[in-house]
Amino acid sequence: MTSSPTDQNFSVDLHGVVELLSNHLYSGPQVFLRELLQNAVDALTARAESGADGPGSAGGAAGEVSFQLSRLEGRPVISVTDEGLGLTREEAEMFMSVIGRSSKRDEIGMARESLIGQFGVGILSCFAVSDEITVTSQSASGGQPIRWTGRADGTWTVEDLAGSHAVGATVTLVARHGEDRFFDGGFVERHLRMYGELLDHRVWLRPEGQTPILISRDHDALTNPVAPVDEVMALGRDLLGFDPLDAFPLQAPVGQAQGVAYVLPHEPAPNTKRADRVYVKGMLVSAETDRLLPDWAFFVRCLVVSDGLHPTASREELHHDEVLADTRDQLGESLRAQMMRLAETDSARLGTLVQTHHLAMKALAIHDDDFLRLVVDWLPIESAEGRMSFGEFRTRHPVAGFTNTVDEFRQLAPIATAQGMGLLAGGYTHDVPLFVAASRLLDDFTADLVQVEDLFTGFGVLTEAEEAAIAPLVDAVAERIESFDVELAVRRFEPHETPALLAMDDTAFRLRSLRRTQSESADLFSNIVGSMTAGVDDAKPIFCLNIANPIVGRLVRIADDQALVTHSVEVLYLQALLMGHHPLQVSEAALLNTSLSAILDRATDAGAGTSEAGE
Amino acid sequence: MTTAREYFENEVWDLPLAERRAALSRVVAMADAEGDVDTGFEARIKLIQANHANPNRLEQVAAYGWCLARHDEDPDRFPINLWYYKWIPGAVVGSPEVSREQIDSLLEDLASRFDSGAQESAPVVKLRMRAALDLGDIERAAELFDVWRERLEERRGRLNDCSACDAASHASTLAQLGRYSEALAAAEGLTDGRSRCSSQPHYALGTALHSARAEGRWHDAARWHRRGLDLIEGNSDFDDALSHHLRHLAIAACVDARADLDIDSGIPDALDRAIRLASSAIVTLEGDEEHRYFFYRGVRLVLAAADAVGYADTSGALGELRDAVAGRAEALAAAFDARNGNAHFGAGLHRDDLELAVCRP
Repeated sequence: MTSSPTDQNFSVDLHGVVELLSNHLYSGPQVFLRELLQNAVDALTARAESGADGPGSAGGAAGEVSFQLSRLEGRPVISVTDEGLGLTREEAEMFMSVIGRSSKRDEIGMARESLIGQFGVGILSCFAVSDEITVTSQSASGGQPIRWTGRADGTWTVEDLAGSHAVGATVTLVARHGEDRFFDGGFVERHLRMYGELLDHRVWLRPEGQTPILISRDHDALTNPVAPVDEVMALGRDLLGFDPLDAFPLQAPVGQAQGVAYVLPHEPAPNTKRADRVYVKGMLVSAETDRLLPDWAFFVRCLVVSDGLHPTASREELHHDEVLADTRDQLGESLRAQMMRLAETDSARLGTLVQTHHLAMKALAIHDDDFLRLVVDWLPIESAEGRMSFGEFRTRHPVAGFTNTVDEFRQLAPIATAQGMGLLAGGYTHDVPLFVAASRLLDDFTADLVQVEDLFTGFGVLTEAEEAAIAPLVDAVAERIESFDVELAVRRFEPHETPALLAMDDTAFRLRSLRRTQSESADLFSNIVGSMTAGVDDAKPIFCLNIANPIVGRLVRIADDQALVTHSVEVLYLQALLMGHHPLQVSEAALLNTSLSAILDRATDAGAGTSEAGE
Repeated sequence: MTTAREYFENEVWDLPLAERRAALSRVVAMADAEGDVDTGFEARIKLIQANHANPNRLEQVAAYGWCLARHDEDPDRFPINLWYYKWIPGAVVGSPEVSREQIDSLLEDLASRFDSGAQESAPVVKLRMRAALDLGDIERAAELFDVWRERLEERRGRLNDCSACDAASHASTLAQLGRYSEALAAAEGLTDGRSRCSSQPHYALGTALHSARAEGRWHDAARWHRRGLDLIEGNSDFDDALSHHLRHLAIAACVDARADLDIDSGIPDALDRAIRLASSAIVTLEGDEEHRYFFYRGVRLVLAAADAVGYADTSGALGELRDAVAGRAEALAAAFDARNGNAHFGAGLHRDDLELAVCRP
């Protein structure tokens, strides 16, 4: 025997749904305040758009929302009153009691986009803090006022009320035991401000026996591009919690979005997540979204109000869709255009901004030619003449060089300075690509890579006579110098005050650093590292004596005194190491003492000899 | 002038890995020059981490040794994470210049720092087992394998690897011991996609290929090859695994050729791919000599297979490249075998030749 199929309705466990909303969809029970606020504002909007008050009437759209705090039999109570469209008994039965049916927008032909609430489940969030929701209402369309009561156990009742009720609705919640904190005046005020202070409607909080508090605030500064600067800055300070360095108006027509980008007063820590504040139809969606601006804009935090972006079901983040992607692009473009304009109208202001956020600016400039032209002159760089702006540097040196690494820069800087050459330190984040891009893009600036080897091509080679004169000195010290694992060379170069320098390319530099690390390790690791480096190509630094230097000249003349010239050249070697900012290895630090001591011994011996001879 | 600390805090973090390693080396040198031991310590720890996957082994070992010395001088000021010590034996064994005695001493030092009790813990035994495998001491590795499995059952300490990595080690050790069917069973959780971590099944899918071929599971091998290569292609951190895939491409191309498949399309495509993979990996090749040996071994077999199936060498350079790569692989094998006192690495090349000879057309 078979039975015919019958259609059945799903039944919903309200407890389960509330649990689901509270614990999984929403960030916490406090969202019931947002949902109450949203229902009230939607009712006002519905009344305005319904034409119930006749053409030209301001009813609804200009109406107010009031949160009254009181107590009933010792329990905290919140009553939210709006001057919206209100409900008839039939409407309450149809809309309040079916989960997922949001409002009567379809009945009255309203565009879905006009309302904040979209999903018809928000009111359930009230059951997270209260066992019962009571709605009393008078419909703008007339009829008896009604009372609808919904309970957490899934039951509801609706009844006609005697007497009169102002058009609109009042939703009343009594705190469940254990949930009193959500009804506390301070808590409610803080959250109403957070969610609703930018709503166009006036929202009041009326704690029992106290002066009413106006939640709404003037936010004209956010949407008016010519708002006074101090108002714009004050709004940013209040809502974002930092003292902005600067502010730029933003616009994105595609998402019907407007707002302000506030420049952070300090460089954000690496890997800091973006945290922009976005409101949709006046209601806060997120205070820390990272979806609104391009990554490169990490030197700003923005406040944006939008009528066109779509929140996710939780209303706590923006939905990833094409509107958001296009809005993001337009907001980024808007910021970029503002900065471009600033370069033409107030370059000093741009300079301050770039000084603070130069790393972000460099990262962007490398990939964006227009942006590079815009900011490059304010970017800080390190040159052989010290730190300065790129603009100042290129005014001094239209033709310049740059190194690949900071180590090479440190070696070359004194030589470059003495020779009047403009030298930029590469090796800091983004700098080498930036120099290359600047050299390519700017008509009046050229920069080429300079390497340590280039030093030698720039140095004068010795004449035959000089070669012959210096040969005894080289013979006397070569073996000792090469014991330091360096090659010995003699050249003529400026500054002639520099007796010697040590040229070390990156490979040699790293190997030397490794040897130092090895020498400061325990025997086990020191021996192992020693074995491992046995197979590494030895890139030796070059120790270059300057024949133009008077001390080297003196050493040439006393080259037959092998002990003295050896100790002297040891000191010159150590001096060259220190000049190049190379850390001394253990053996070199010891050598400083022994060499100086030996020279002092010779000096005092010679002094004693002279003295004795004098006697 | 920028200090080492400023440079460390402001200039290093948003760089790509390779540039970050160079920048960290620079911070180390700058900190040493300034006598800033604390920054030198922190930068070296970061340098050890940055050299983990695609290592400059020498830099890593030197940095860890230096940090360990500072820690021993002042443990409170320089706390050290022993987890990184686990990376050191592999790095040291991979350099044929380091003697067996030095490796033994290192493992003793490591064991004394890991274990306070009389019995060595699973991570220590595992490191000894892997060192024995790398040293070609298969008998000792087999003994340690049993001990490791026992210790692993006993307890899971904080210095143990994750379960996916332990499963991969289990499988690859069995494969190196020639126990192919057991190796495939041990790798099941990884090859079927159930277990994963940041480096597995990336390696496991490569190491399972030889066992699968040995067991005649060509269909599985083809699947794992495709999945494994998708996971690692273009990422030089996994060049070791790439070597297994190159060898598989070479052998599979010969098998297909012998089966008279469409030589005009399939075989050259496979070899084209192998040669392209090898060429791009050679450009970025880093790491120690053992790592290079395995990589050259893969490339060597690809080029030998190309020769065996009559692959049309349009560049005219493959013959020269084949000789150069084979020469390097053989020289490295000789260096390791001399250090290890056995013929393990040379035998690996010989086994490749045999496998190719069996299936060549």
